[in-house]
Amino acid sequence: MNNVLGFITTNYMNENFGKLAELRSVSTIPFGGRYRLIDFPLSNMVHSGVRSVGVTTAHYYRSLVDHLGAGKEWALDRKQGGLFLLPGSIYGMRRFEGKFLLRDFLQNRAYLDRASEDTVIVSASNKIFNIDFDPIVTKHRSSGAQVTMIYKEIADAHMKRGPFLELDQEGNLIGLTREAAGNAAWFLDCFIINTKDLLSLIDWYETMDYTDMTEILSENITKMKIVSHEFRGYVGAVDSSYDYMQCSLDLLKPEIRNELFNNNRNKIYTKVQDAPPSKYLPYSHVSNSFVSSGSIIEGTVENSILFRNVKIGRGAVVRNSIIMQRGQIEPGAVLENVICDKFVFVNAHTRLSGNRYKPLVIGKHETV
Amino acid sequence: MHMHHQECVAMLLAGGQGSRLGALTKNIAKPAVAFGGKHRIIDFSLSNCTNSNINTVGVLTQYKPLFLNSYIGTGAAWDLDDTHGGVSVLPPFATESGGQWYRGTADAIYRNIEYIDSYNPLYVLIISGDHLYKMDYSLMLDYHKKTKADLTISVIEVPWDEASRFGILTADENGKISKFSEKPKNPDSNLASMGIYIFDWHILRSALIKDSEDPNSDHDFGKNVIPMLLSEGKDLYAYTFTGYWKDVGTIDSYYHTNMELLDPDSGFNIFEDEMRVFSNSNIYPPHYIGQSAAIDNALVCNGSRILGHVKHSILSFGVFIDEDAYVEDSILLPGATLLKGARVYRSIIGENSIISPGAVLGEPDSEEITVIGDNQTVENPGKKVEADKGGESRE
Repeated sequence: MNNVLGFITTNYMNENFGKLAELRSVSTIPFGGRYRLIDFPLSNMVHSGVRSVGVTTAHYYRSLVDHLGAGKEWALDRKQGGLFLLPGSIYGMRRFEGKFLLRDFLQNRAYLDRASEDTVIVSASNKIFNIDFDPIVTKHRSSGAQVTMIYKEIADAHMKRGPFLELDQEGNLIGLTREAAGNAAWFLDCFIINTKDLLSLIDWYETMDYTDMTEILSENITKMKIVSHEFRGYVGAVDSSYDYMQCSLDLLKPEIRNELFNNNRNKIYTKVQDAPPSKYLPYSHVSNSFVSSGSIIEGTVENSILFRNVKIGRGAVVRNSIIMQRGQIEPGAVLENVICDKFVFVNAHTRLSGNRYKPLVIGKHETV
Repeated sequence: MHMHHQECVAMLLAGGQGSRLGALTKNIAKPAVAFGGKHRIIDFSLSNCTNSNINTVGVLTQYKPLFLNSYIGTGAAWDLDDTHGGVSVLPPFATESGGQWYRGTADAIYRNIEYIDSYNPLYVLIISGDHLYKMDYSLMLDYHKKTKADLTISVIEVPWDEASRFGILTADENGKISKFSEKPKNPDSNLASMGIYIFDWHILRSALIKDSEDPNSDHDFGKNVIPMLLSEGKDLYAYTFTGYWKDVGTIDSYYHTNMELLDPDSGFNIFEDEMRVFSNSNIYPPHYIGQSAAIDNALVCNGSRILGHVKHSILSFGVFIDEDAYVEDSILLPGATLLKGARVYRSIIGENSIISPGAVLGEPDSEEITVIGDNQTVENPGKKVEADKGGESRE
């Protein structure tokens, strides 16, 4: 796939993340033992052949810059193209909901202006899926469309956050809606647009820079050729700490794990940290769990996700839980339905539990 | 060609076959053999260089270098992709007067004098790509400068009854070396050479030229160059290293050194944050431990999938242990696969090799370690089976 630019926005936020996104952008919430959410859209672009990706920064972007660096792991540290960290438009405040703020595009017009690429893939960074954009871009180009919106057909729309696409028989976009129930075309926060059309939209709406690009597309449904593409694979949407737990536990299902991580052509790349292997000591008992390197396990771990360099002490029990990097669970502690952010220390014989619908979140660096 | 001046250039000897490792080095050079789950043996020396602030490393390759070359790449995995130095892979090459293989360790350096000269260094560090240890060479260099030695040899104390297996150095209380004996019958010292040398470059340079002109020389540091310098009355000093150091020369020592990683008291700690050992690892997802899996005392790497039972073993990345498979006291190299009901004891399974369903390999109490090379399929003799490629994607 040639001649395609990537544009990833990271300023999405809502009130349901709690401590998980208190001091970091949703795009950098750690996920799946060693990844961060932004690894998915970024890797999708790279393995589809995108060689220049702009990433707009969110309010809290230290972790974003730390994680992406020069883009080495995504082979984006290049002389031509590469990774561009683009200053987001909202330095001082959090913007709720808006994923594709016009301001973010406007602020970084130079990046789009200078691009020689004729097509842009625009994506938010809170949905988890593994996609090959190559055939979609080919279809986009041959169809003569100006915009291709990517969606997934779902049956439980009331459980998901919108927007949803309203499509005609041919799959052309006829409307966008926030709410839907039952069967619906769930927008994956990802669309393909011709560079010159994107620049025109930016120009036309310049004075209304508080608008979201999806609102602008919605406004122009009759004036532009906007088509859709259905993605049939797994999609995990992280819109709350509950969703985060569900998407994480989805990784214990082999078919989902395979689709996301074991596609030899479409690999998900992430920052490499070279942790040693994980060590399972004689008293460990681990089942149905996804474990990253560098962990030292002496206790019981069931239906859980362990990140790098986690320590589970002797007799400790971790069930239906997520322990992020360098979490330390002391002997005899019992955790159930808990999300421990990075560097959490749980004292010996402490009992912590959330419930299935509201996992208990322990914040970064907390000691309990 | 203009190169930046470097105070110290490291020359890493990685050309040996390591023939005593048998099947493990059939396709790759010994420094490229996987070790301890996620590493390859050369990781230790390369990481030591980085951790010692030595950023210019010439890697001398000769035997089956394809994989080793691609593994080293730009050196970026060890932070050695440095603007003013970095890693250079140095295979034997032809000149206007012909070409030939490296005839020995000293010859390999001799024929790369031009490479070293281009950095105009004061010192040259000679190391091997097949030793397991963590060492800060900058401390040895400080010692070398302090003693104003012409050559400093790093030594380690070995048990007296083992001293006759090593190159033994005799030194006075100041560390000044008076004698070097290769595998002495009656050792008068237990200071064994670790094969790590720091030379003043001008001393080494002229010694290499002199050695190259000697038709009777084997062009080996231990055998020829060091005795020559000693006989010339040069100042040789011993630098005593006290950490963990192993030369994994044989299958037996390779096996036991790996297994020591499971022993908390072995002194070889790859978990500590100090002197980290880097590696050029692929990005694998975390490993998955199945519903009915059981793991008792093991190291497990990313990309592996464990559905069966593992006892006292080391599992590299991309390993697959199917349901009802059992592995004990074994080392599984990257991509090794045990299919349903396979049983493996005291074995080393090479990269991407497959143990077919129901097949049994090794014996629980055998003295000998069973070794399966890379890309092999071990069939169950009692049953005709069609083995396919393992790995997580088969799920």
